[in-house]
Amino acid sequence: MKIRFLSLVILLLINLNSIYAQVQFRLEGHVRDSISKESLIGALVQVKGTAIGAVCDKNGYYSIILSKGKHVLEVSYLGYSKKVLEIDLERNRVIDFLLSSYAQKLAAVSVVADEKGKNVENNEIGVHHLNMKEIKQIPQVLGESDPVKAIQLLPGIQSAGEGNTGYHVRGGSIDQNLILIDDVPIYNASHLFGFFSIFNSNAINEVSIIKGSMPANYGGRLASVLDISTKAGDFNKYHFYGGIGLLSSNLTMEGPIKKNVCSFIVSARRTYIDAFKKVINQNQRFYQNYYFYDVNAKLAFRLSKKDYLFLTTYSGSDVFEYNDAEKNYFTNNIKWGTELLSLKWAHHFNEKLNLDISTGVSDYNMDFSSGLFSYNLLFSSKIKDYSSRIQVTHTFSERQELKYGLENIYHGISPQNISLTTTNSEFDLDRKSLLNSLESAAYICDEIKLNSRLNFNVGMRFSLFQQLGPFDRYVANEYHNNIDTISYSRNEVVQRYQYPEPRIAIRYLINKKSSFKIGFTQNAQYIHLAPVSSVSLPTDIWIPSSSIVKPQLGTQYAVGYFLNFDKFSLETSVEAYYKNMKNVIEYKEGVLSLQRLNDNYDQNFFIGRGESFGTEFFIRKTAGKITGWLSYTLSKTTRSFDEIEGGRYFYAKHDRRHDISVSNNVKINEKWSASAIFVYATGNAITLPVSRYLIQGNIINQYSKRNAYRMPDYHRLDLSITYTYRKTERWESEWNFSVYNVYNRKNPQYIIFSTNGDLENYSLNVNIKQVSIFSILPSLSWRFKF
Amino acid sequence: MTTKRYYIINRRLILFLILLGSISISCQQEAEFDIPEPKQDLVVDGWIEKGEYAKIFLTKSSGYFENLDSAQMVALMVRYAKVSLSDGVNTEILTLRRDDNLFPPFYYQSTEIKGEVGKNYQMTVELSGKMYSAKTTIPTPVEIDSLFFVPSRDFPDKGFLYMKFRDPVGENYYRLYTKKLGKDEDYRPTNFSTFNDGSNDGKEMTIELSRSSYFEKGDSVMVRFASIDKDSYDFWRYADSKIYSSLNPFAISSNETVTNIVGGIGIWSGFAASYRLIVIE
Repeated sequence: MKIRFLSLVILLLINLNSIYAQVQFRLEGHVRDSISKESLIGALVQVKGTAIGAVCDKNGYYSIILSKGKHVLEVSYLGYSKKVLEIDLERNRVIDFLLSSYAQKLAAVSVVADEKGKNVENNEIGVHHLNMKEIKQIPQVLGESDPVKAIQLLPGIQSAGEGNTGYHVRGGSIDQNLILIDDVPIYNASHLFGFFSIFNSNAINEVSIIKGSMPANYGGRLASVLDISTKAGDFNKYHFYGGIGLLSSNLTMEGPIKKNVCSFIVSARRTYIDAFKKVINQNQRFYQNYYFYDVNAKLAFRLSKKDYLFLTTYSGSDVFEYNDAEKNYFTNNIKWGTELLSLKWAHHFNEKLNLDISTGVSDYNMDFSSGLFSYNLLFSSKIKDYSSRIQVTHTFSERQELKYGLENIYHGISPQNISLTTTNSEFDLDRKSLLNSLESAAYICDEIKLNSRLNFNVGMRFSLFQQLGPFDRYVANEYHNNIDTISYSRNEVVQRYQYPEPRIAIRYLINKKSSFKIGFTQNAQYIHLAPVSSVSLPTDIWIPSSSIVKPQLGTQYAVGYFLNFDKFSLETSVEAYYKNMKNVIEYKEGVLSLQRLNDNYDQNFFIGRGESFGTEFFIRKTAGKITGWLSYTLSKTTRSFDEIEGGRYFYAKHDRRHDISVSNNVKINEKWSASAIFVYATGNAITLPVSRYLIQGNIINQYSKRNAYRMPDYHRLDLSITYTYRKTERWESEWNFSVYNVYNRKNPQYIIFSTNGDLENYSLNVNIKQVSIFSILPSLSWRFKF
Repeated sequence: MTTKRYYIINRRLILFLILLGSISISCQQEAEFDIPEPKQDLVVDGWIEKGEYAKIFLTKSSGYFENLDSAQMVALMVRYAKVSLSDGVNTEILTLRRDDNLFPPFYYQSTEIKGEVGKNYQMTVELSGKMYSAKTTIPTPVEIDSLFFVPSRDFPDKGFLYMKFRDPVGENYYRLYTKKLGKDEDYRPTNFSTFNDGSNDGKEMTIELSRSSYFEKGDSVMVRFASIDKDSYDFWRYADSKIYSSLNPFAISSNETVTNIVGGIGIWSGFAASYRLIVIE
């Protein structure tokens, strides 16, 4: 089967080149923002009225092979006015396009009503692109625009709930989302328990989320890819912009170091709740403090006309303290953060060949220290990844583009290091466990325009995972006494897994306004998140696959129908998917309360399978006074474990029958605009205690079937008003007033049962209490740019 | 064979509780949503020890979300059942007793039949026209060879207690308890109190007597090493895991119920124990 598939690809490669061997020239260049000169990733350069064209890459570069003669080119990008240019091609040409954003030119340029949506013509299924303009239109929370909050409004993507750090994509678990900053994977994307994401909107160029057919150049996770490309600084002009809010502020500076050769951008944010800590903590028995900060910086070098070099760094951290006022009874300090460094070189060899090489390191650290009198418990968890990637893109003709590459990630995971210090001694309670593994992949994907209607994107990814020593495998008997230890030395392969991951996406253009797409993907995932509970927190632990915890495997089938109505600037789509997942993990019952230290890290899990299917409806209005979208997802997600209720399929915690999101932006006039979002989702599935009884002085609770009950539904409305105080070419300033959770819905984050009284006093009351974290939250911020 | 084990309360759990506890104190409120229909079962908590009279507590389970006042609580204690005990030869009706130091204060006790090693005991409860029954056996007790104390590396006055014994050939099931004399009112099961001989059949075994606190110099510790039957083993393994996970409000609990009571829930357990005292010096 695999051989057949490959030979089909090769056959197509050969044939297409010979069939279209007529006189052809190359048209290439960059598409940029007319003022900031930033590259417009994903801008479409297209021959008008045909399916021939190219999408700009991460550097805003495009390249098309066209036959000799006259062509009408159309260059478009969401949020920007379209450019049309007639050319007569008699030789290879370089044409750079500068597009003006609607906002900049609204007064001068009328919005073209018949802008063609890319969604119909590209062969992406289950992919959404959001640029920062769209993200900034979504009501802000505490004055910050947040791309992760924005993607959760898209169909098929669900928030894991307030106070959670993750999101669920098409029934997948939180750990099944790959999050990339400039090609480097990161592990924790949130500040303040999920209330803010670590992505500073001022430092971001574009956000893409792939939830359906993942092309073969992405892998390592089952459910989705959140690909964030950061912004490069302006090569010509300096800019300063930022925002000042009640609880946080941000500042960004960008500009040339050497004009047209080298540019920089530095963007920083910090909350200052802690500045008020004296007020907050006055006369309190307990002292609480919290802040986070993050800094993004990028250097961009234009080494030559054909070479770009980018150096990106990110550093961010959350600090939380909870102590008694004098700090002599107990102290709790938690600090978690991510650091990242990435170097990328993009080289255009010639008109047919492009090369991208990137390498990076990302470091996630969580330290928790808890002191009680003279004892101090220190718990830390670390993940350090070294990644490298090389990708070659061949553009054979206007009808075919071939990409292939290699990827390596070396994971060093210390899931749990623990030490206890007292005033006079220190000892480790746990073995310092550093789990090493190497994840490698080779991939090839080919995009072929078979004819004006049919477009294929076929790909194959081969992934290889090796768990590496040093590692000690403890063999224990049934009452947890260690009876044997197998030791592996440094870099010795402990366990090896390899899987082929085929990916296919096919687009059939029914007419100019509508298309039908299908997709099939298989993915393997070699690292797992071990969630402590139904709630995800920075304290959750990632573990690599081993002989006991096998890699997660996923298969997804998706179909979609895309239809645009030019008259109303509407893009609509319906997508349906089915997917199954193997080797998903869940903690065994009881192991959470007592943990044995001479167990291996991977022995505390049930290993099972999951299924999800759903339909997603999406309507998006891209132009006009009112823009925004409406999405509705109907889905069902189940899990099954042999050891739980005999393998019965039960609802996953994050099973959501209904999920509705509405996001709206109204441009009232030049000065005023307003936006709103509304979300509604079925409550999470939970297991409840049913009855209790007494045995030898202990109360034993009997529980319902797994996840047989539901938390109350989640819904919320956010509003925001922006007043543009001044806007000129040189100076921009605006006020934003936003209200989170306008009608103060108490959405439960989790439920607790509080018991009053006790049996021996012959009185017992049980109250079900819900804990909601975020009530109505107004905020005011001021943004500026010059 | 190494036997040293430490137990610590899961640190992620602690962390988690502190995190959530501290941000959530001010925003709790009553929640309203569907709760399960309460169901009521007869709960048997009974045992017969070698050389002792049988003791059986009868109660009813209550719905988790039901609020109980003293009258309702008393109504859960079954005082009008007919409880009989048979050792295969003799049968007797147990007598209801009351001891206000206990909870629940009512229990049924035999006055003639005492536990004997190797015998089977059938218990029958007749209540409101319904019959409930269970069988158990008293296995042969196993001697404790020795008890020894290992001081902790960091706190020389505190440490761990171990027990050595030789497992008899054949399937054996055990439950371990300790009692610090003068400190504990009754025997307390150890952490992982319930175990079997598994792959160590017929071998000498060393087991840690772990409690959630250290043993200290000066403690006089009485150890109860009970041999139990398979049904009791299954029940206590189940009950222990339920009790542990009830300490953690976020733990996930399965809905299985383990019992040897036909028609009801709980346990009717026969056991024979060895006792031994160690004074830690």
